[in-house]
Amino acid sequence: MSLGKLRQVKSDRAFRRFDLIVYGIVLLFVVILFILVFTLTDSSPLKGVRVFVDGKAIFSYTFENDEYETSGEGVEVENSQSKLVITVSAGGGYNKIVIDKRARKARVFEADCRAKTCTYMQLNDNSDVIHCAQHKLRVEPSDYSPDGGYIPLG
Amino acid sequence: MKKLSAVIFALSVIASVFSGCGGETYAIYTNLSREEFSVQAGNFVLCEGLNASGSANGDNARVSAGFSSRTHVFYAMGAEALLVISADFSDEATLNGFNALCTEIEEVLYSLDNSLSATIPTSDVSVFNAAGAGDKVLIGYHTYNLLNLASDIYEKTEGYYNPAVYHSVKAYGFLGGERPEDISDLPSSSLSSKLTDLANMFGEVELSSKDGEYYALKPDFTVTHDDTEYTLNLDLGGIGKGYAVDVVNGLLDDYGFEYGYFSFASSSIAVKRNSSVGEYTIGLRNPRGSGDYLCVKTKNTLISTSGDYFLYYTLAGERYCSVIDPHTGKPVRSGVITATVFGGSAAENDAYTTAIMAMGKDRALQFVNAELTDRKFVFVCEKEG
Repeated sequence: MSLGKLRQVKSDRAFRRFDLIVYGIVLLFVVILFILVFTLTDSSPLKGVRVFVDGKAIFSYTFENDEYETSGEGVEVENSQSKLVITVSAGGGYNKIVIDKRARKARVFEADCRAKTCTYMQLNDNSDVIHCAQHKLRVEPSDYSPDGGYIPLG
Repeated sequence: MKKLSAVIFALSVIASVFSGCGGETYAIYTNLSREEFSVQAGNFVLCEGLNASGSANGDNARVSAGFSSRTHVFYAMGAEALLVISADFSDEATLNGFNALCTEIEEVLYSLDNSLSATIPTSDVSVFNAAGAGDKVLIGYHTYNLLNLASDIYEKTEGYYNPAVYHSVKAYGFLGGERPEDISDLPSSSLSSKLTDLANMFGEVELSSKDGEYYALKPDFTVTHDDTEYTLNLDLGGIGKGYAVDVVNGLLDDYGFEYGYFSFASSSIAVKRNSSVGEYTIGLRNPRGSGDYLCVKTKNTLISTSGDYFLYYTLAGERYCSVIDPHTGKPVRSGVITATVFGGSAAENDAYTTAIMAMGKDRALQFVNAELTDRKFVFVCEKEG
């Protein structure tokens, strides 16, 4: 680097106005991205889980109190410190649901329905729903609101 | 200065990773106007330059005073359907109307299931599938309507929508077929080619009506592979759900319910208005991750979607989905991984989205710009290169 260039670099200001504008835009972009990702989807952790068979509530659980309620026949619950395993007998078959108390997640891990599509679904947050059409089973977050203005597609 | 640039670059990378940019990127093609949607996943990039038609929305007045919501879950065609209605249910007539609507929907879905199912042996579709080549089969009104619609879209999409790929769908382990455990279990090229020739005879299905009865004539054409003779078979399952949504949408109008929605298998929806905020936010599921890749604000419309993520399996790192390319007889691998169409009818949209997935990006863009000018569309492609 020539001496003249070195002097010019030393005499330059640390931040030129144009640089600040560019940095500002980049930071704004980062902030908007975070807001979009973390606020627009209802990805708050599960508060509880409800299970329905043919539209009737047969099981509910809340993480905060670590309490569950069952109503109706055909529901067996195995409760341990870290998880709940619920076996639901419905529609001539069964679905086994596991609720992970620490991770605050729920999923169907075993079923004898034909398609077994339900075993690929998980409740990770308040926007997810699991359903098994053959057994008319539905597993949803306890504060899931189907008319909250949001409709999942796909 | 360099340090600051590095910090900002690092922040951007962190933001990208948190928003899902860690893996591959995907391109979104849509004619939705910019104010109608928001991209939710960082690795989905909007491709600009398409003609966005203006939003027909507006009138988002809140009417929630005295309103409450009621839901009813139905099961038909091997899937769940959810009805959500918002109204003033303190009015006894409204409540009775809701109950009557539920009963009528139950009857309609039962009737459609028993006409269109490929697994109920007495359904129109099963009877047609079991019939011999060249046989004339008595079918019901809904099946006749739907086959007419399917024929129109088959022509319009140059065969990219074809409900006669039944044998190929089954050969790849869907529709109750045996799921391949290994690549060697997949259908041979010879079988796929023969089944494609058979499916291409769909245009030869002749529909007729006489004295209030409806008929379908099966093409007099068969293919044989490993001593098994195949006749043309139909699978109207996908388009059937869209058709059911269209019928239920008509019932919602007949009963005067203006607020709520009817969602069938989360793949076809009749959307009315939301009683709290006017429009609904439709969350389009991320085909390669959790959550949504796009949120679209809309109301008073009919929507259908298709994707390679609904039913699929992977063998040796390759994805095999239940959507078959009618021109190859194999699961679609056109680069289009999901497609959604808004407006018109849900049954048509169901067929269009299936066709778009088989067409691939360039042909799909030509098609939507020429044929779907009255609708909104979104499709996602794996990025090239």
